[in-house]
Amino acid sequence: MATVLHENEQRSPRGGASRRAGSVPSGMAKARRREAIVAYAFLSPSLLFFAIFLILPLIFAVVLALSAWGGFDLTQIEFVGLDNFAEILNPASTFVAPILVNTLVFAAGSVVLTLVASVVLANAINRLRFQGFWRTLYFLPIVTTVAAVGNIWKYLYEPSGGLINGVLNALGMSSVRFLADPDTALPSVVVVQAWASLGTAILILTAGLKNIPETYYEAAELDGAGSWRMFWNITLPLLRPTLLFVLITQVIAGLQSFALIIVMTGGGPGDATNVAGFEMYQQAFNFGMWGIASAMALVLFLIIFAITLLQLWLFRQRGEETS
Amino acid sequence: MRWGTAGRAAALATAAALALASCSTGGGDRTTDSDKVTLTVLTHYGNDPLKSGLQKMVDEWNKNNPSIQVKTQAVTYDDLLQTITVRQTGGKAPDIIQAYSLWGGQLERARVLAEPPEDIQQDIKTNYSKAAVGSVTVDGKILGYPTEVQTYALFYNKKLLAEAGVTEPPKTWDEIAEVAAKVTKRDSKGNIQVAGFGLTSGWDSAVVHPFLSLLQAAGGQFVSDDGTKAAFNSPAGKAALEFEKSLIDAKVADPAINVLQAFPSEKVAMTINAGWWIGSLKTAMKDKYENVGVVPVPGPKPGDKGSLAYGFFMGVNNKSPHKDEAWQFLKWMNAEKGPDGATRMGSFQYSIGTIPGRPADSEALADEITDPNYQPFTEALEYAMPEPNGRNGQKIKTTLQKSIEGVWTGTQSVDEALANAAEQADALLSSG
Repeated sequence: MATVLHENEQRSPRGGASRRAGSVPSGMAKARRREAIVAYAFLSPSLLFFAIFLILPLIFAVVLALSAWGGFDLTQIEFVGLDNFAEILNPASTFVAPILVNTLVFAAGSVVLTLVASVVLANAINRLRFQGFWRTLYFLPIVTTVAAVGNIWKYLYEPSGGLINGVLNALGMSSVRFLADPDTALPSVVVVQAWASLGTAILILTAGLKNIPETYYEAAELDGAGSWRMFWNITLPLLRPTLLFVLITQVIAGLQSFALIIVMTGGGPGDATNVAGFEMYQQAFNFGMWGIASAMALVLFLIIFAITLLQLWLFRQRGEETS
Repeated sequence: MRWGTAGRAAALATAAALALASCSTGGGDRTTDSDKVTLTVLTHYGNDPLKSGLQKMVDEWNKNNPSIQVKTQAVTYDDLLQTITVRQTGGKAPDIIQAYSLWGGQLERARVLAEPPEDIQQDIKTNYSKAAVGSVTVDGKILGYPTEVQTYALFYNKKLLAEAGVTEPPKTWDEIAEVAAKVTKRDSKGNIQVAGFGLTSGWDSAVVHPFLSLLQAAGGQFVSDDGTKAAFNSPAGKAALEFEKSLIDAKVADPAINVLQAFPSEKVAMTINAGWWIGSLKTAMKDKYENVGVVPVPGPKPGDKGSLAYGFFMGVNNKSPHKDEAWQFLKWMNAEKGPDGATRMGSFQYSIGTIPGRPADSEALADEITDPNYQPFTEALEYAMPEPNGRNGQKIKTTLQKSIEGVWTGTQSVDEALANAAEQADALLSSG
């Protein structure tokens, strides 16, 4: 199509087509080259942005992962080979356990909760009036700062005087030390992360639900299918591409996220809620161990990459087109 | 051909990126011409009264020194180290840096700070308290002027103690445990309404510094004299941590309570904290501040006492093209006497409730320091253990924090926690 357009464009001005008929191939090549240059010129701001904020930092992170650097002075970067990886993957290091284990629990827990709750809620919202209102309501945590969300939940979780423990006490139960007990601290933050992520998932899933033709449900209803059967046999299978998108984006976000953890627990008590993102931040900005932090970042990148590939493969096995 | 175009475009983009990146380095806010120099000072004094107090000094200097003008820049304490790191790496370094003493090792290793002139080094070694000098010394090198020195003591609420029939503050650990048990109040569900003793989790200084004060009170040390080995995994260290754990087990202390809020609300009877807290308590408690008393941190036996000292200092950036002018300004602010007979920094620190690092300033301001609660902090300047500020100081502190919290929450025994922390600290000290 592009070639036809070029030919038409070259013929149109001043009736020059017949005169230049013999040089069409080289003219086309020139035009293509010009087009490419113009395209790259238009793309250059994005390429520049991409280079400065993604490619250069990525290369720098790889260099740092193989180096010892205390920050401040780029001339003091010292090559140490794989020492940083050996240190963080050493069984005695806390990076693998509990930090990476916590990271996976945090991501998996919040994704499972978010997915289940958002599918149920999106399905419910899809049947309600004032859908925009409900979607906005569930989207509110997304537009609220993490500091506010984290602090409000901290108050809710307070052992003495917190709303949740107040309710438990009123029901005759003892207080739970949600964030102070290493056994309950991580699950407590997972719940908040899931709650805060619900809005985006609901927004995407309700859009996915709208793409399912109503005729399928009408036909199923005529065949005597109940609500559960329709949900299980129509809604869920046809929602799979949307679910895949939500799953992948939520897993990646869950593996990288640590803002809530900074606000609510600071990674504690001990390392009970410490996750890879927070540990990297500490190593780089507080301890001045940029090599260790970069090595951790690369390990986390490989984990995220592997998990994403696994998710895509699993969905393909079930016949799901992902592109 | 297409690849060639793409290659040229990529090369162009990379060159532009590098050009842009190089444009962002150097220069900064520093302006110079033949007769005027502008110095930048990066601090964490971003809120009043700290901000206005510093600005008042800077305004006085700028008025009298038209050729050396000073400009202040402030970030929050939480962002200070990150800001120094990023600006130093990016070539936008301030001329004068204010830093927490614990970061001294990191800054010294990366040669961020310039060596002070000989006369300034002598002034610091001779005229500042032992704790202040220790807080700005790394490997025998002085990093800058100590601007603020903090020591630790035991805060107690006289009213809460009196209500429980206690008229004297505790003088030993056993007495702390006894008083805490008498003062603690719980509701029918067992929730603590008034905690006898306050332990704070989730903040490294609030976890580690009181422990180290108790450690010193029991005759222990944080690191060996030569600074190469952890020394807290000792009978004194174990006793100090077991003492804290015993208060939690007795349900007279709960690390889940936010002591910084609960003590001023009179819901915690005793806690260990630094001298800067006096100013905050006066603001938060108003008239009720008269209920607050302060005594040295007791040890296991009567007469034992312990404290930890840390501080902030101002040093000159090694990359500054105006080091002489920067030291000139710092010397004026920290060493020359002002109208009240104390240095300007000493008067400023006193005005915000902090004990000046120069004993001569405390003497000059003696008539103004009428609050007896300052006394234990001033006395502690002479015996407090300086917080070790070696090259991995922050990481060692965080490691110890996690071990202490592990004991508090029952996931680690005292022996196990201190052994693990000491092993990691040894490795960090030897790799420093």
